[in-house]
Amino acid sequence: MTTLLHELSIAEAAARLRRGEVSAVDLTRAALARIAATDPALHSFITVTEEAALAAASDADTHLRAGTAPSQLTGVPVAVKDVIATAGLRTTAGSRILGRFVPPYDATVTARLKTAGAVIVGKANCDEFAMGSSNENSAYGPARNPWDLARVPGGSSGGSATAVAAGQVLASLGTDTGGSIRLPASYCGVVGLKPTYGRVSRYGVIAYASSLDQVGPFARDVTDCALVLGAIAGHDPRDSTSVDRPVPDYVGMLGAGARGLRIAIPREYFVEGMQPEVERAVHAAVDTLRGLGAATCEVSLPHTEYAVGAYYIVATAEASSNLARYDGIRYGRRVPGDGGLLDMYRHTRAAGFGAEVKRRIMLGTYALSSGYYDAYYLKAQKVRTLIRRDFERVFADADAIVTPVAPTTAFRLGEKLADPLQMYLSDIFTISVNLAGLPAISLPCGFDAAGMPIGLQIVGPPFGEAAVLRAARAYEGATDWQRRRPPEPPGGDG
Amino acid sequence: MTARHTAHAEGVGEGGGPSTSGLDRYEAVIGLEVHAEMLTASKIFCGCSAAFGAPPNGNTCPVCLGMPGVLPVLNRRVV
Repeated sequence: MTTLLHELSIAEAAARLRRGEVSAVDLTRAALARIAATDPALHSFITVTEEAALAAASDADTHLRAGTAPSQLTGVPVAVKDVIATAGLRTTAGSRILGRFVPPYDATVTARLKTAGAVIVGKANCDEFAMGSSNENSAYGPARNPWDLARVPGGSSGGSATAVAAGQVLASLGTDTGGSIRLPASYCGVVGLKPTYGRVSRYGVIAYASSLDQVGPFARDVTDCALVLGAIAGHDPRDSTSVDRPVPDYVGMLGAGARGLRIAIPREYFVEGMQPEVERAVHAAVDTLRGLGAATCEVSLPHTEYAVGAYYIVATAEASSNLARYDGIRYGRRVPGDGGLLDMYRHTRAAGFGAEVKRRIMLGTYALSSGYYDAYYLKAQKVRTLIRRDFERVFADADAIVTPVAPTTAFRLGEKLADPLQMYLSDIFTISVNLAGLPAISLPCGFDAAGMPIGLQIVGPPFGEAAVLRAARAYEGATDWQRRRPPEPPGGDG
Repeated sequence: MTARHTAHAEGVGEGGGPSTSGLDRYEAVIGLEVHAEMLTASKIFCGCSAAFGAPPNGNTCPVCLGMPGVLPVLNRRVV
């Protein structure tokens, strides 16, 4: 039975744990063994924490035996993206500059997972400071796509997606600033949800672009995704942008079906040059939803073409400010120079940051510099308002918007490294959602001829996670894409 | 206080050009940095005590240390 533990959903694992058929320690040992066997090929993890995980599992077992388990997540092995602070556990943000940084505190989402009884087994690989679409910007080497190890898992939360797809953990947390949950979920064939800005606390999440960053779950199906969201969502006085609004029972509302849902299909999301198989799969998914009783109509989001440009001004401007603190003084790596303080700053940042982070710091510093602020940053903020209004107009008559997650399936490692602009365009369908602060899910809706997963994006109005999850669950229930598993990774035992 | 070049500074000072007086070449931009001590029980951006006399590093937390990932929360009484 041990060999099958990695194929369980959270709901199934929770049931077995409660029946005493398996213990949290068994489940955690199985996850750790699978990570040890398969991670040399997949590289989902930057840090694995065996001892702390087994201790947490043992605590979970005590609660499970006593019937006091705090949630369905009790005893369930999970991974946390390495930009999320974990007390006593190294948190690198995928960067050399924080290579030895051990936070003395937990992020709010980390604390909530622990309170729910989840067992954190390690820190998931990601692009440095969450900047990237392929996970190739990790200072620790990229995670590999379990469906084809020569391809990228997507980024920036690549390791969070591969760990779930390959059965190393049952669920994980990622962060999404421009698509960093949805893109890897799509490329790896798992379910990933980016909540509304303000739905989940950002306290303890190493900032990339503070007005866009959100934490969200990865899981193998929609129900598990809803379960994890319910555990991490809610107001946090430590994050002034988190919203004080009750958290609905996401799992309880999943079964309502698609009947009566009004679904909008924006024509700007079907562009020239996109992979025809992706376009066909998304149209087929829309047909499926219509077959389930949803009403569908074509709409326009006219400012879509300006989203990528506006995003790379806003995000890089905020990044240049957020990353100014990494100066080698108070924490993280220090590289002394021979010319005093300023020289030390220069050497520390030159050695500590990778090429993409430096590029974005320079872009952002330029956009905010005197004389250019109005032309770039202010203009980008105005574009952002127009994009938000596009969505508001559509949501006046619709419950959800359905689009592809990305124009293509996962590309090959190295394929886009030489051309940052090509890489940025992977996020063309996900970025607007961050600029507007909306919730959106990615779930599998097919496979291309090479056997790579295709992702369907369902976007909701602000705090419309329940409707997004309901539509996703209805679609999932009518298809069997999410039941397909990637080939067994090298080192795996079946 | 800073001073920055105005747009027409280019070429100034070449023979036969307009006046080279400093006032023409720079635009004065004056900013004031005001330091004030708040009469609050806790610090301005976190819940740590603002009292004097505690042991060294006694009144600190990840927020006032500026640890990666933390967020400031403005003290309501300061506003």
